[in-house]
Amino acid sequence: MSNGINFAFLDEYAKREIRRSVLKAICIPGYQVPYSSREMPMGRGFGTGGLQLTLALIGANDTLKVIDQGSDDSVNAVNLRKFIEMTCPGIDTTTRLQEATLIQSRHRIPEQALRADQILVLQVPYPDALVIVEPSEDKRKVMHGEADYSRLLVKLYEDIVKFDEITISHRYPTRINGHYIIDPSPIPRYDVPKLHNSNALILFGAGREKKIYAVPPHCPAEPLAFDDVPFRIEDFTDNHGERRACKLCGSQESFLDEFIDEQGERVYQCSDSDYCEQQQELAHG
Amino acid sequence: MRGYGDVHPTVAELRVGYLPVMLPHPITGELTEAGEVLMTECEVVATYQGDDNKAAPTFTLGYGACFGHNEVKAISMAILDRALQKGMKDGPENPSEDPEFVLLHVDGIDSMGFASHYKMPHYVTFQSDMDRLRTTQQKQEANHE
Ligand SMILES: [Zn+2]
Repeated sequence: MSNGINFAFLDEYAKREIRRSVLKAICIPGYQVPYSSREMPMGRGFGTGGLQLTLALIGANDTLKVIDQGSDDSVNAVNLRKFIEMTCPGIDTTTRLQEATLIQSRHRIPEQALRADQILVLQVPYPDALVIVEPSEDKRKVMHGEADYSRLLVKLYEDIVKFDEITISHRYPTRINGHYIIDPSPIPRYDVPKLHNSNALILFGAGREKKIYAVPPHCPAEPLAFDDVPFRIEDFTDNHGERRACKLCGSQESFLDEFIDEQGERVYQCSDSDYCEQQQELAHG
Repeated sequence: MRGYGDVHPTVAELRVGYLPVMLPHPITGELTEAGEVLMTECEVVATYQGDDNKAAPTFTLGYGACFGHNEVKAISMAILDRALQKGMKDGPENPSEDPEFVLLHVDGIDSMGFASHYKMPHYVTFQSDMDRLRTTQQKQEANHE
């Protein structure tokens, strides 16, 4: 590049290290691979882990989609997309899921199924599901190695005793390939089943905590639950027992954002803006 | 201090001054003075440490250095250095003796980076929180009826 910045900002050694960590993460599904996590020209906590994965994987023939809260227009998504476009000449960007080869996301997995030729990169604030029961990383590492998740199960059990419900709303602990339990990033519970037997490779990058992990394609992913207390996703039924619909596209199947409009009315709308647009296009022919 | 890793140090050295900045010369590679920078440096001596193996007790040292004229920061660093050394040796008994706790929370970039992230949108996770809150509230109400 003429301005002296390497393609995709990172130097080739940094990219190579990240790719090696990705390979290891794929080989040991759910295991948190430590990596050096370079300083990026934005604050830690703004998606630097996801960004480093994207920059290490992207090539000039890729088509990139970046979303935050399901939306391509959210501030974090716009900033990341601009930065990647600026440092990766030749790439295409899109808001349409079907056109993308590489998708970077914060807090959502797209509504529509991913394909085998797509990679989903998720930004991760807290990579370790055990952090709610054990503060020391040293000890957590041993617990993961031994698949000792008893304290996590006790936490769920205590929830049921206290509240008659598991109170974990998002970042729901999920067991990958029968061993490691991951923090699947702050996706809602609604998105957790999409990790199971996914067609696409799903990668997780935690920049501040310097970890990379993966749910490889066609890999079992089971949210932690009990035989008699099943895992449950968010409930969008109204008082009459009807599934709420998106006010824009009418979908009764999507994850909804709830807000109060200018008339003071409570309204619901798809969180995945691309899905919502495609549903509206279908409806209008 | 205050029971979370008791170190009351004796300040052995506390000084402020300019230090030369040495850089390799672009052509010869020889170290060359490029300027100077204001630094504060501190060394503390803390209470002696015995040893379970009956070794002779000794005083222990802690060291801190920082840019600018900032004595409190240098002393604090020296105390933390001493506390961390004890933690490394005997295992941390207090947060101040735990390197994972101290180094990841005291570092400006690491700690500030995450606090500033809270200003980003969180409506998906908040929606999810609302779902849990409403469900547990409904169940509580049903239990009271
Ligand atoms: Zn919609």
